[in-house]
Amino acid sequence: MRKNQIFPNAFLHSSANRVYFVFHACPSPATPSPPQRYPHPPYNIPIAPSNPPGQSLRSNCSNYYSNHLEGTVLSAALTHVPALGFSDAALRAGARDAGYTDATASSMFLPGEGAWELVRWHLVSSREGLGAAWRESWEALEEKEDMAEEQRHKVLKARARQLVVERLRMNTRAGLVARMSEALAIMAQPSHVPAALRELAWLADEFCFLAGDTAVDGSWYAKRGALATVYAAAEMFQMQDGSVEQLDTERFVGDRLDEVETLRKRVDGVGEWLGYTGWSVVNGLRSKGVRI
Amino acid sequence: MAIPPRIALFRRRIPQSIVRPVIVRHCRCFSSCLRDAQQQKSTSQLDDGLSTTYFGFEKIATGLKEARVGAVFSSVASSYDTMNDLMSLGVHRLWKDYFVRGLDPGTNPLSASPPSNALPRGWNILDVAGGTGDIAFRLLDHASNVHNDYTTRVTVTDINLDMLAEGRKRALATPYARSSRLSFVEANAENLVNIPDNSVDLYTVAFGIRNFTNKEKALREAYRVLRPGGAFACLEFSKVNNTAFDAAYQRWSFGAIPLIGQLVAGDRDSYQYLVESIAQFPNQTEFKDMIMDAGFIVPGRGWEDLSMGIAAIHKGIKPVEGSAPQ
Ligand SMILES: C[S@@+](CC[C@H](N)C(=O)[O-])C[C@H]1O[C@@H](n2cnc3c(N)ncnc32)[C@H](O)[C@@H]1O
Repeated sequence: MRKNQIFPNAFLHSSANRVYFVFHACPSPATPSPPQRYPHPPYNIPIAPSNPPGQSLRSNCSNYYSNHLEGTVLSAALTHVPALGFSDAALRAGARDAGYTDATASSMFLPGEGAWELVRWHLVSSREGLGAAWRESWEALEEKEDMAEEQRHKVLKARARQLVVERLRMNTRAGLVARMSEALAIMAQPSHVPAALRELAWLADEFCFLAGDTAVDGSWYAKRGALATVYAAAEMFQMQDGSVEQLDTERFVGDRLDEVETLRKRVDGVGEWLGYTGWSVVNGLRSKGVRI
Repeated sequence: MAIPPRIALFRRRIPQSIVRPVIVRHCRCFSSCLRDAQQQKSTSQLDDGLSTTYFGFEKIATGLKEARVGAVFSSVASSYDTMNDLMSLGVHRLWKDYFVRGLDPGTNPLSASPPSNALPRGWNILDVAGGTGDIAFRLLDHASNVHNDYTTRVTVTDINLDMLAEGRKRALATPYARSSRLSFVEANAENLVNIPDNSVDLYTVAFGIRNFTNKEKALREAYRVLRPGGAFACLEFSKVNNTAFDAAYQRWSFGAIPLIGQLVAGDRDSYQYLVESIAQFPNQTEFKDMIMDAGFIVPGRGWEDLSMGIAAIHKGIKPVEGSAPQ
């Protein structure tokens, strides 16, 4: 077993019940639900409240904007985040760009929530930006029934790696890497933690879905959890990665996914595995000064 | 219960001896003013197909409401804080602070407009039914202290000269009395004659709108004077969303407040009106819909409850060209 590079203490603390704390914030249905096509509602459309419990991971999980206004202003505001941070100042600058006023920016969200809404907008719009194009460009795995189990895992892993890296590059392209620690601090505020974890879980769903993983058994949950933690850890690695074109980050992602593979074979049960990765996330956050 | 819930009975027992036209603005003797208003009511032809409106729980001819509301506020102008303390269980100052903090008025002249061409010019704020200046002073303090913005200005409008006089008096205790950042203007919220179209960044109305005769018309006026992207913000008593607490609150407001009003201000009727006007005001959702009907974009859920809904803050944004509301 390889030792975790950025979180060398992770092994010492791994414990299944702590994971509960990390992952339980996003309520999951008791029975595994199969991945669905286009599982995520478009951001600006309220979720139909009629989802029977257990049918969708996202039922009554979210409050999306019902107006064009918020999306327009937030999108414009994100371009100011590299200079102004995830802040009211960026929101105001975005409002002005969109033809609105400072008064719009300060009245748009509940008092004090502007910065968080900016963070969430980045998370959501990036997730949606990953797009279905990936899936279409890849041959559907289920059609290749003759493919051996091991081969299948390999393909899925390669795709997952590609997706995670692509998502990380979105941070870079938006000029937000230097601002990610700010975003993390905002996400770690108690009132935002549940929604932030939910976003992370949905991102993992998206990875699974786009990679073409249609397994309906319990392993799907394990994979989602794995991808969520790998992504979260990679994002933290990215924040301090000074290497050219952040190649170290990409290597890091590959290594973690290999680790997942190894652990999948060795560790008995999802809980224990999550115990390991869950703690690496928590320790990572702590090392960034986030109080959890 | 010792106190009968319908104290309006009391009002009707006032001797109806004096009959003369109501000129609320120049009224010195407040209680006789109120009596005048009542007199008017009893002589108005309610059955002649005239439009009617509510004055508290009473149905009166629409044309009379303004005068009667005027009488109420003339009457309570000087004991105004007492009234607010009673109605809000003492927390109206906190609500007002929170209201203003949430609006975050003012723009730091240094941080202003990195992308746009506009020069920093501060916000043009209109505080409607601003009476005593309570909200206006807070808005200006916030702009100065939080944003180092000394150009943001507030125009306080009120229909009632007594309330404006009280505001001017209180302004003397602030840095704004003689500054061009603060002005007091007499105007009816339903017809803001001297305020040009598209000229206002932020329109505030705190504990005022429930007194307006035609609220829809006032909302349309707000829409007219706001510039695109400008914000409408309203702080008003609303509907308590917890049944047990609501029962207690209703008992307090109907049972105790008019009596206390009589004891501390010698004016039971005005306080009775205030209590009834709160009960009469639309609930949170209805009022949000009214704001949308006036053309505003209503962000998020549209309002925020304060103290379990005793009061609520509603906001709306005037859309910019090309972005239809909802
Ligand atoms: C309860 S006071 C609120 C004063 C102040 N905004 C505050 O929060 O302390 C209500 C005010 O609304 C004013 N008012 C009532 N009807 C009005 C109208 N149609 N137009 C403008 N002001 C009106 C009254 O004169 C009174 O000053």
